[in-house]
Order: sequence, then C-alpha cells, then structure tokens
Amino acid sequence: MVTLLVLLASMVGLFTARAVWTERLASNHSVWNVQAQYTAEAALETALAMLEAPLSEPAPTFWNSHEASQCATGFTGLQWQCRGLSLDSAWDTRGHSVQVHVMRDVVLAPHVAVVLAEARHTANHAAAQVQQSLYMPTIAPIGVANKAAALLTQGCVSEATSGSTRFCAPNATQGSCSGSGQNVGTAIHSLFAPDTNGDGLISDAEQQACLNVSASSLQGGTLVTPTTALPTPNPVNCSTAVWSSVFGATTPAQIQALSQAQALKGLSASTSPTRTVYWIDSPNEWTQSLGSASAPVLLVFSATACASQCPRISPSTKIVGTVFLDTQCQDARAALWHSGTVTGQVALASGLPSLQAGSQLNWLANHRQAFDWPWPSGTDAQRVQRVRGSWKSGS
Amino acid sequence: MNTERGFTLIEALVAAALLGLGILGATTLAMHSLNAGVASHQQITALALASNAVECWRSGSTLCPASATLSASRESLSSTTLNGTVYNVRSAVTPTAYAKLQSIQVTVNWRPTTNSASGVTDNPMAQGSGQLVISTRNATAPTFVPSSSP
Repeated sequence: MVTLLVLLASMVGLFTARAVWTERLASNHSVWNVQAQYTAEAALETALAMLEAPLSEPAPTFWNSHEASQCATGFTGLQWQCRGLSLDSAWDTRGHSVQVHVMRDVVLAPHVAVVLAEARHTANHAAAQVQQSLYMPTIAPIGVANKAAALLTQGCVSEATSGSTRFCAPNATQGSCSGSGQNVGTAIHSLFAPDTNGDGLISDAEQQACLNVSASSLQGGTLVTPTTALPTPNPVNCSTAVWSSVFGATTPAQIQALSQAQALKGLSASTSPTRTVYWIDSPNEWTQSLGSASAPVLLVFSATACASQCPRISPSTKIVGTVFLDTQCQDARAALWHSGTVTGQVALASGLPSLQAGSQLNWLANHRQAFDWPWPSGTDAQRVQRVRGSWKSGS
Repeated sequence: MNTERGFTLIEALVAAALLGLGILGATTLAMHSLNAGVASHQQITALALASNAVECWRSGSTLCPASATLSASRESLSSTTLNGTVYNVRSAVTPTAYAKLQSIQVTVNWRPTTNSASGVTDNPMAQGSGQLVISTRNATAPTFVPSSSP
C-alpha cells in the first residue's frame, strides 16, 4: 500500500514537473520570438532610414540593378524589380541573421517599394518577418493634363505637302475621329507663336501663319496659341514648359531610369505585362508598333537621339500613347519628321516644320496612362513615406 | 511453538527509509517545479513590461518616463512590484549612424521583495532573480495618411 502511494506521488511529481518544464519552454520561446520580432522590425526601420537618407546607398543608383534572389515569395513576376539591402554593420542583432528585401513593380507602381525584413535565430528556433510599403521619390506626380491636343509644340508647325497629314482631335464625349463633325477638339496647341507685327499680341492671322496646316488636315480640329507675345524659345536655355505640361514634376532622368529598369527586367511588347516606357537614344528610324488603347506607352526620343535630327517613325508604324521629342528648342531637329500614326499625343520642345505626308496624329484622352501613377493628394513626392495600412507581420 | 511470521525491526526501518526517500524526492521535485513555474511567470511579466516600454518609446507618448531625443542618449528607470517581485525597467534610447533612426534597448531586472528589517524575502513564492534585454530600432519617417492607397 505504502509503495503504491509512493509510486502515485512520484507519478504526480513527474507529470507536474513535465507540465512546468513545458511552460518554461513556452516562456522561453515567447521571449525569443518577441526578440526576433523586434529585430525584424528594427531591420525594417533601419531600411527605411537608409532609403530616406539622400547620401546612402539607395540614392539614384539603387534601382539600377536587379537581384532575382532577393525577390520574396509572391514577388516573382517579370514586373518585380528586387534588391537586397545591406544594413549597417555596427548594429548588434543579438545573434539573429537579418535579411532585407526591397521590391517594386516597375510597370504599375514604380514609386511604391515593398520592404520585407526577416530575422532568424537558428539556435533558438525563432523567426519573424515584417513588411511595409513606402512611397519613393523615384518619380513625381504629373498633375492634371491641361494641354489636351493631338500635337503640343513650342513653336510653329507646317506640312511638307499641304493637306497630306491628319490631326484628329475628337471631343472626348464623341469618341472616334471617323465621321463628319466628330473632330471638334484641339488639334494643335503651341506654347509659342511669333509676334510678327510687334504689337504684343498674337492675332488670328499670326496664329494661322504659325500653325500653317491646311483645313483638310485639321478636319475641323482647332488651333491654340498664346494670346500675348512671349520670348522666343532659346536653344541655349531651352524652356521645359512642354515637358512640364506632359510630365509634371517628373524629370527626364527619372523617366530614363524607369525605362532602363523595365529593360533590365526584360519587359517588351511581347511580355506579360508589356513594357510601357521607352527612352530612346538611338538616331535610327523607329519601326516597332507599340501600345493599345487600354495600355498606352511612352516613347521619349532623347536629346541624344535628336542630336542632329529626331529619328522619324516609319509610315507604317502605329504608336498608342505619348511621343516626346527632345529637340532642345531647335526647330531644325524636328524638320521633315514623320510621325507614323500616333494615337495619344505628340509633344516636342520646338516647332515642327515640314511634317511629312502621311503623318497622322490622333488625340487619346488616356495617353498618359503609362506614366500616370497614383499619388494620393497631399503626398510629398520628394521623400520616403510609409503607405498607411501596408504594415504586416508574420513568423 | 510460535510459528507466526512478521516484520523484523530491520525490515521496518528499511521500509521507512525508502518511504522517506520517496517523499523527499517528490518534495524536491515539487519545489523545483514550483520555482520553475515562478521563474516562467516572472519572465513573461518582464517581457510584457519590456514590450510596454518599447511601444511607449515608439509612440512618443509624453506618458513615457522621459521623452526621447535623437541628439543624445536618453535613459529612464522605472520600478514595478508584482506578486512579491520587484521589476526594474531601464530604457535607453540612443542615436545611430542615420539621423532619423534611433536605437531602443530595454533591460528588465527582477528580484524578490525583501523585508527591509530582516532582509528576508516577503513572499516565499517569489524566488530567484533574472534579467531580460529587448532591443529594436525606430525610424521617424512619417506615416502618410492618404485618402486611398495605390
């Protein structure tokens, strides 16, 4: 009987000890996991500070490369550009191995980076992961389109052969260019017209002389110039008014960097998603048709491409989207240009003399879709900011 | 002739010794379990206090023991007594190599409360002492409050 009691007491003691030991283990795991969580959060916060610091690694060169191994699960499409971030070595991670992945969608939201931080302590079997999205100053808001015209220039326009071109400017509510009475919008908008009589005003005659396009080419579309005289565009200090009208505060360097990022990811017209931004430095004729009404593209023929004369678009080529010619306020660089068929908007930083026969420029209201990314009103596009509600954690 | 058989004195002593050993073992085990249980409870309590301190610093609340600045290291010390254990919470906020990043370290030390006159532990259930250190970092980049997220 006594032996039985002793055995019973021992059993109770053993089970109690095991239960307490389990509780002790759970307690230790709680501590280790909380520390792993705080370490992952610290890594995320450090990454955020590094991305915001203007002189640290992420500066302009940060997105110049792609590391496939840094793409976390779920970020493996062609549009995802991924980078690893090396955190400062002075930080004591308390035995945790830390990894930070920075990823962005170069097509749909190149200004939003997803930062994912992981902390792992192998000996303690503890791991944690946190994620946050950030607005990045890689591009800027483009603002409201206030120059809705098939052709936007900073100088005079003429045709090589009268009546041989087409400027289609449908009223947005009426849709297609085909059919009589449809072409009622602005066909050509010039930010400059010469004041030939020196009266300080731009008369109708001066406007007609500057935008010298036949009625058959305009098909009812209207012309817009300033009503008062403005200084003649100066090639030495060329105004960026046309650029700003199209791209808002986004700089040429930002567009060029985005184009390079899309090329780096192997995006093209035949991939899914398709490439949307093309920065072109080559002076060769452009022969590839690009874009669609639902997915317009952006083509920027750079100052390098236009160094002597802007490359023309071949007559059979169709572009849907925005075409910008960086002519540096020099009409000669756009002389004898051929537009192919552009549905969207053609903009250039000069006049457009002797537009070649067969050129067709159609207005499309959503032509800026390729580079009009959502910026909630009030966002400071010059600095890194957290996207509210984007913080996630997991172990 | 007496033919009845019974326990001899020696047998009785051996049985008592075995019983005593069993009871001693069970008691020791129970005490160890009790101490381990108390230690777990103390550790979890310390963890909660440390987490509170970290979140308080992060929130920038004026209710925290001292307000953090990025220009110089700041420390605060607070003390809490729970279930016969004194927890001392030391928070330190230090600047880092990045101007808008601060390092936060919270250290919690605990020990049983003692009678000031006798030096004896007040609560026999509160055994042992320990330390817990939690560290993290906090950046000051603002959270943008948009009307809609992309």
